[in-house]
This record gives sequence, C-alpha cells and structure tokens, in this order.
Amino acid sequence: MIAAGCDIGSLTAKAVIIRDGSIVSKKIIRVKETALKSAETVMSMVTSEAGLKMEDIDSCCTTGYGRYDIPFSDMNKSQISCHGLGAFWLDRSIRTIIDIGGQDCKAVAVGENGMVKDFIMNEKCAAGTGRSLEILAKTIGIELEELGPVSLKSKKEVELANKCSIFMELDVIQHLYNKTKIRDIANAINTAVARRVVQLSKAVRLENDICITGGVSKNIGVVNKLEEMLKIKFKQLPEDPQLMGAMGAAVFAAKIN
Amino acid sequence: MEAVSYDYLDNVVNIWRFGRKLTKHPYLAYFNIKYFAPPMIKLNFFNRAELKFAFESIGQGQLSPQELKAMYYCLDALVESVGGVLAAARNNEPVVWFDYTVPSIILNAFGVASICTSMVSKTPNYLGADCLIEHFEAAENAGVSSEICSMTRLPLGAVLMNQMPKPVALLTTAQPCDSGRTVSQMLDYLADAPSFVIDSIYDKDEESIGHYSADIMAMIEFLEKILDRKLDWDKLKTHVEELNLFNYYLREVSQMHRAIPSPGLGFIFLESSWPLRLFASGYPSATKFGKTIYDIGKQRITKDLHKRKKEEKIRVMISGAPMYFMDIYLWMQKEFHAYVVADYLVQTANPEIDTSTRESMIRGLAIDNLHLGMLRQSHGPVEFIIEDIENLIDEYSPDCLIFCGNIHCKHKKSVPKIINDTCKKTGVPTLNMSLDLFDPRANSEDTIKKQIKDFFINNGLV
Amino acid sequence: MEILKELETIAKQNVNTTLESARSNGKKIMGYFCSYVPEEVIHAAGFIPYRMRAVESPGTSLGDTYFAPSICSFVRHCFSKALNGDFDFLDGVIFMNGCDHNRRMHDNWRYAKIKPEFLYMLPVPHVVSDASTQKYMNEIKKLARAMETEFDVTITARALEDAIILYNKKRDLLTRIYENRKKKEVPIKGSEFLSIMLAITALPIDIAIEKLELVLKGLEGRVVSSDDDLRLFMAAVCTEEIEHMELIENSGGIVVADKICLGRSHFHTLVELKDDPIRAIAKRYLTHLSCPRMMDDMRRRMAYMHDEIKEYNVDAIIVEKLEFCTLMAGETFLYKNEAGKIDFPILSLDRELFGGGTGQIKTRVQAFFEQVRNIKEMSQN
Repeated sequence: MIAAGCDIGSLTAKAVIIRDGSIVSKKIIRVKETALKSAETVMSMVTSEAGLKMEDIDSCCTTGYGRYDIPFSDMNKSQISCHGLGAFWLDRSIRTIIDIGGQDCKAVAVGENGMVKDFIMNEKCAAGTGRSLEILAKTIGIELEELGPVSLKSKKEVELANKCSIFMELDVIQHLYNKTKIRDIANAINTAVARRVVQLSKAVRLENDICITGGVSKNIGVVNKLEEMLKIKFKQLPEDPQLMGAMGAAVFAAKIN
Repeated sequence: MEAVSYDYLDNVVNIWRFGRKLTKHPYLAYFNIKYFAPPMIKLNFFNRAELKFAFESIGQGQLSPQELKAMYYCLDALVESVGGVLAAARNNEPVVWFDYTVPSIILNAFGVASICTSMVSKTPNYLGADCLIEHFEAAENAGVSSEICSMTRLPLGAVLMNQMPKPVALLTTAQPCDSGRTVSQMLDYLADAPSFVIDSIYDKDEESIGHYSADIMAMIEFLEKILDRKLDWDKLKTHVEELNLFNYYLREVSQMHRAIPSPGLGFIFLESSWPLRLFASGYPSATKFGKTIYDIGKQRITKDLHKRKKEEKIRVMISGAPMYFMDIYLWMQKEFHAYVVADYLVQTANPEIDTSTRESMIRGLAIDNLHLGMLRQSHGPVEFIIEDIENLIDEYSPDCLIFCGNIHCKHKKSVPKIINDTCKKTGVPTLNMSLDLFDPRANSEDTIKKQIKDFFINNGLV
Repeated sequence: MEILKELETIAKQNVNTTLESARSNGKKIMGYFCSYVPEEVIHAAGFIPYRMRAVESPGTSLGDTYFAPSICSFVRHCFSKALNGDFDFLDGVIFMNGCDHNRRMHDNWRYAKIKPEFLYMLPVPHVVSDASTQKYMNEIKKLARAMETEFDVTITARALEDAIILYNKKRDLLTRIYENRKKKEVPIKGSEFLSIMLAITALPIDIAIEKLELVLKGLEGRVVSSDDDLRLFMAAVCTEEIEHMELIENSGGIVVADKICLGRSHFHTLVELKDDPIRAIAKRYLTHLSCPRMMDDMRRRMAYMHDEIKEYNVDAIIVEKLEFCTLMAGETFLYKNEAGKIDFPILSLDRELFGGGTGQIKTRVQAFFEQVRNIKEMSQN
C-alpha cells in the first residue's frame, strides 16, 4: 500500500510517502501563495522523488493549517494527532511530544496506541512560536537559522520579558540601544521562548519519553534551554523532526498504527 | 493535598524581624545602612535577591533616623500580624482568610488569627523577583489565566503551592473588580471552607451605605457562628479608636504634602501605610508609625523648610508603583529631585469613625472601607475616578502625573479616553505607562526608568 | 425547517422587519444588556425589550479610543455600533453591572453623548440573600420610576403580572425545546438553538411565543444528529456567532446542553407569582442559573454542569471565554477542576467575538474530538 501524508503549515509544507510500512520519500518546502499550491508542489516533488505518480497513491491524509479542501486528500487530521502519531510510529516508547511550529506551540501526550490522550496548545499570542523567533532574529539582524548557534557563544545572562512577543521585541530593542552583545540577546531570546514553552507544556503531564518536533526543534539554543529547564533529555528521532506532522498523516492514511 | 509549609511567609517574617531588630536603634541603623550601602550595591548584594529587596524596603540608605524609627513600628506591626497567623496555624488554632476589601479590624476584635489573601501580592516581593515569578508560574501551571489581574493571581499561586494556612472561613467583598470577584470564588473553591461575601454597592447614598453596613453586620453574625464566640464590642471599640488615631495622623501627613515644598515622605508614608492598613488595622504599633511620620512631617514643613525647598524640584502624583521596583520613589528623588506628593491609589482621606454606638461604628467602618484605594474610585460610575483625579491635582499641585498601569485593570482600560481627556484638561503633563505592576516578567526596571526619564526631559521638568 | 431559517435570518440582523414595523406603528423599543435586567418591567412599561448584540458590527475600530484593546470584544463591538448609529432605533438602553467592561460602557456612552438619551444603570447585587433581594427590589423600583418619569407612562401591578405570565410562557417553551436535546437522536443543533435565542430576544414577546410554538411543533420526528456525533455541553458567556457554533458542530459534535447567556441562563427558573410582582421578579432574576458574576453561587453552577452531563448524556465539555473576560477566566478554572475530578474531557477555547482565528479553533476542536474518541475507544477495548 502506498500512503501519503501532507502537512501544510504556516511557514513550510511537508510531505512523506510510506510504502508497505517504510518511508520511501520526504520533502520540506517553503509555503506557496495558497494552501492548495503548496500541497500540489510538495506532493509532486515527493512523488517524483519516489518515482511515483499521484494516481499511485492509495490513500492520502492532510494535516496542518491548509489541510482542508485539498482535492487529492482522502481524510484530514489535526496536526496535534499527526505529530503525536508520527513521532510515536518512529519510536514506540515516545509518550510526550513538544511541537513548536511557525504559529503555534503544543504539548501532546499520547497513549499506548500513539493516539492523543491530552494536549495543550498556545492561544493566539505568538510568544513561544517560530514566528516570534523569526521576528526577533530579524530585529537583531541575524538569520533565523543562526539564532541557535550564535546563542551558544553567549557568556552573559541578560533578562528579557517573556509574557508577550511585543514586550519581548521592546526589550530586545532596549538591549540593542544599550549595546548588549548580539550573542547574549540571542541567548535571551531563546531562553524567553523556551520559558514560554515550559509554562505551556506543564499543563500536560510530561513523561520521561519525550521528543521535540516542528521547525523550532532545529534551534539548538531553544532545545538546550528546554532540556535544562524541564530537566529532561529529548529522545532523538530517526527522521527530521520537522517532518513529524506529515509522517503522522501518512501513518493515518496507511492505517498502520 | 500536600502538606502545608510556610517557607515563604516564614522567610518574609524573618526578614521583617531582622529589619525590626536593625531599626530598633535608628541612629545606629542609619549609620550602618549608610556605611554598608555603597559596597552592597557594588557587590550586587552577593546576588541574593532577598537582600536587595530587603535593603530597598528600608529605603536604601536614603531614610533619616526618624524615618527608620517609623519603619521600626511598621515592621513591628507586620511581624505581630503575620507572625501571629503562622503561630496560630502551627498551634492548630483557627485562621480566617480575608480579602483586602474586608474591614479586618473586626477580625482583630474577634481575636482570631487572620490573614489577608491580597497580602500575598506584596510579600513574595520581599524575597525577590524570582519569588514573585514562582507564584505566578504556580498559578499558570494550574491553569489560572494570565488575564486575571496579577495582583489577585499571586495569592492563588501561594495557595496552589500550599503556602497558606488552611482557613476555617473566607471573607470577601464583591468589590472592586471582576478579578477580585472571580479570584475570591477560586480561593473559596480551593480552600473549600465556609465563606461570606459583602455585596458591592454602586452609589454613595444613604441607602447604599445602609446596605453595605447591613452586610458587615451579617458578616459578624456569620463569624460568631463559625468561631463559636461572640464579638467583643468593647474590644472593637478600642481597636476602632486606635484606627481613628492612625487615620488622623495619616490624614494629616497626607495634607502636609499639599504644602510646597512637601515634607517628602512619599516613600515611607505611601508605601508603608497600605500594608499597615491591610494587615494591622487598629494595632497600636501602626498608630505609633503614624505618629512618628506625623512628627517628621511637621518638623520638615516648619523648621526644615529651607532645606526642603532645595531638595524638591518636581512634584509627582503617581498612580500605583511596580511592586518589583519598590525604590521607584527613592530613585526619582535621588536622580531628579522628584518627590511623590500624592498617590491616586494609596491616598488617605478616611474620615473619623463614630464609636458611640454599635450601629454608628459599623456604618463608620463601611465608609472607612469605601475610602480604600481602588474601592473608592471603582465601585461606581466614572465620575468617582474623575473627581478623585481632579481633586488630587487641585489639592496637591503636582507638576506631573505618572500613571503606571496596571495592564490588567479593566476599570482604567475601559475608560482611557475619559481619563486622558481629564488629565489634558488640567494641563498637567501626564505619563501613561502600561505596566504590569506585579509581574516582573512583563517589564524590566530599566525600561520603566527610561520612560520616566524621557518623560521628565521631554516636558522640561529636568 | 422553515421557521428555523426565518429565525436564523432575524438572528443575523441588528434590526429585523418586525421591530421596524412595530416602531413605525409607534411602539417604543428599549435595549438592555445581560440576563439580570428584568424584561417584564420593560414590557410592563410599554416597551419591546431588545437584547443588545454585536451582530452586524462594523468592527471595533470606531470605539478604540474609548476602550483599550484589552477590553472584551463584545463590549467594543457594541460600543462601535452605537457610535456608528446602529442603535439609533432604540428609545433607551438599560445597562447593568454584569462585568466591569459592560458597566463602563454606560460611562463611555454618556461621555460620547451617543443616542438614545435614556441611558440607565441598573446595579444588581452580587450575592443572594434576603438583604440583596430587598436591595434589588429597590433598584427595580427605581428603574421603573425612571422609565415612568422619562416616558410619561405608568407601570401597574396588573401590567407586571401580565408580563410575568407572558415571559414565563416564553421560558416554558424554550425549556421544552431545550429538553428535546436529551433524546438520543437530537432534533435541533446548538447553532439552531442559538439562532432562536438571538431572534426571540429581538422580537415582541407575543410574536416570539408564536415562533417558539412553531419550532416546538417542528421538532417532532426531526433528527439532525448522527450516531458518530459527540454530545457536547457548552459553557460560555456572550456567544453570538452562529458560524462559530456550526464550526464546532461540523467537526463532529452536537451541542446538547449549555450554560450560555443566550442559552439556558436566559430562561432557567420561572417567576413565581405568589406575592408582590416586583418581589417575585427580583427573586427569579437573582436566583436563576447564575452568571460567574454572582459570588456565592459557584457550587450550584458546578452542580448544574454535573447534572447536565448526566441528564443529556454528554461526551465532552467545551468551555469558552472571550479574550479578556476575567469572570469567565475564573469560571474556566473551576470547570476544568470539576471536570478533572471525574476525569471528564474538557476543552477550553479563548477567542475574540467575530475575531476570526478559525484555523486555530478548528485545529483545537478537531484534535479534542480525536482525543475524546480515542479515549472512548480505549476504554471500550
């Protein structure tokens, strides 16, 4: 059976194809102007990489903010369930998933079947999401990808408001005026975002077998801070953690959980 | 339920005890603080937040020996009040929780240990900003929305961390705001003890005061039942007479600040009178505090007039101050010779209570209660807010107004245009900050200082 | 069902044709906020009571200088509508101290000198006691006197008694419609029920009763639920968006019971006409299914939730608050703790009225339903 999972997020679109229980191809792209276009593009890339055509797909599940009204989708599932199931499918011991995406952040607890037992998701506020990291990185004049590595060089703790991304930005600007070193501000940004995530994730009972997914999982600064604050060590997933939404969707489509 | 510990309250009371010991000999304390202040600041208090905040609360070396003497009485009253509650809790004696809006003097007359739940919006601060954050996080982790006013969220944090003695009863009022109303219910839910609510009133007319007084009477009946003892009305009368004296001194000190220059007692008078009113209503030490600052004030506006003229360059009217930046008054004094002469929230104008009969006493307590900051302005129409601002400006001749927030205050956030227009009409330069007065995660001290400094410069005040 | 379509059209309008024609025939209309303003008294004074609403709002920007963004969106919408002249058809507005946001609308309305001229604040007690009932009675009498003086009308005891009978009839019909949702095959959706509520609070009472009778009749044999639907209890305050309720129900659920201002709270408890009508009215309004503003009734509200879960065979609870609604923030905490005690699934939503953000809401609701179904399946296995 050939099953596809397609995750159309706010910043990136991801797709995964599973054939008879094995991953055959995967792709991550920046989103296009519409959800449909993003879905079509990423799916066409992932199918061609696997040497397949769209017609070869037996079942397709979509997830992410653009999951609705995709003509080739057979079902849609919330990204919360998909992230949970995707991570669980790759490592059956996983019970908690912290997912930090472009516009939301969630903590998901899954049961012994990989399905959602409990979850918490941030409210509209952007503090603690990929979007706020992007804005703050821009404010201090570095690329989003650099935020993690730069912050690791920090030698001095500086304080940053973490209640709201607007307050955070104001404080960052204040630090720039005061000529605080960029590496220290970068560290403070990662700390502030991590603190928000910790606050949120405490609402779900965290278990030891925990992993991190979503775009922000690639920011080593935030990941280190989270491990330090939560006093845990994230389990390493065998696949790119940003792909977990699409992975879970593919598992749903394949009905192999 | 986890075992209750009182680590935080114990630590706070210990800090107060230490402060009381230190200030018992005010001249010695004065020289000690003066001597140790610069190296302590330089060493950042060995990175111990509680030392920094304790130091700030005794005036950072800027208070005179006489003011330190007043501080001694203040700390003595606080130790007696909160220390007494902890001792009662440990001896398994009944403890009653009350909201700051309840006339707690009645509880003192009952002779029952009572703790003001709203007090916890102030006490963690003595242990440093991290302790405040710990309280907030405890509340947030339990699912308390951060849209509820941060002042009222702190006691929830304390309860959720099992830091409050278990109560036999809870007393509250339906004032002054939704946060108070909702948090009272949450505390009631968590404590699961009998509770009594004094209803709110909207007007200041006789009928409303009568309704409010009747509810206070009903609260006494409720307490008599719960505590299984009658109220000692003679004792209440003694306490109320003490409160009358306290109010007299504070009223006088307040009025002295109308003078130009003022006696410059803003920090000690405004910062200390509020906790005393809440925790130690009717305590002799509180009265001694009032008398001491009254004497200092009198001296300053008569004998030290020349000196005060040199010191006071800017007269500030403030509305609330960030809890985690306790020395904001002292910082303004030191940096800009700016003295707080009036505080919209803490100002004292409580009238004398007629103690001739039980009814007159209760009616007097109702009126006294309605003069409390926030209650005074918020229980009725916007005119109560406007009149208060206009009167204070008229009476205290401030050179500027600094409204600090609070970001969660729905009353102020519901009428910003009316308040702004009122301030504009008076022609007094106004700084409107949108701070969270209790949560240090929202604003940093540096940001607040910068806003105030820019405001003074831009308005030609410095 | 035709009648439901008709009511939905009315629900989505600020002013409906029935009101317009009544007005052109010389009938006066009195706006009021919240479930604690007695409609009977307004009716007895000769007015059509009109429940203030945010529907068809031009947005909140007009009122932005009067209210900070951290004020409830219902209030900001209503006030912007007033500035926009959308409430000019009213002869007066009665405010009450339901919450701080709403209460301050009375201040801003007066300050901005917006129409209509008759603006009245009715302070309602926050506790239930003999003293507060007496206080509330006095306030109702003051309101009655104010209307009598301003509009040169007389409110007689007879008129009040007649009004009580009419409004009790409305309550009774609504209760019967509501109780239909106990059935396994549910005949009416939550979104439809919300339409009914919005419509009947903007219609003259006699017409409202006629419409409700038609609805009740139309429910016989009607089924709108499917076997897979999760049965929901919904707690909220100023919910007005029918589309929002549809979004929830289209995700695989059906609202069968509620604790919403424009829901059960509106018609819970009849006025017991045994003694003085004002006393009877005061008693009913103070003791009906209470709003979180009532400070000594929290345990009864929680008991109500437990009862509804059992009686309506509820699978899950959705509790939603409008952003910055402090009262509902506290209530959400209580609901969550109560649901936690019996390990009952609960989802809390926090949103702005007519504020969009449907993507996030859909995700939350869908994930919640997936979670509830998973838990159900696991417990069955």
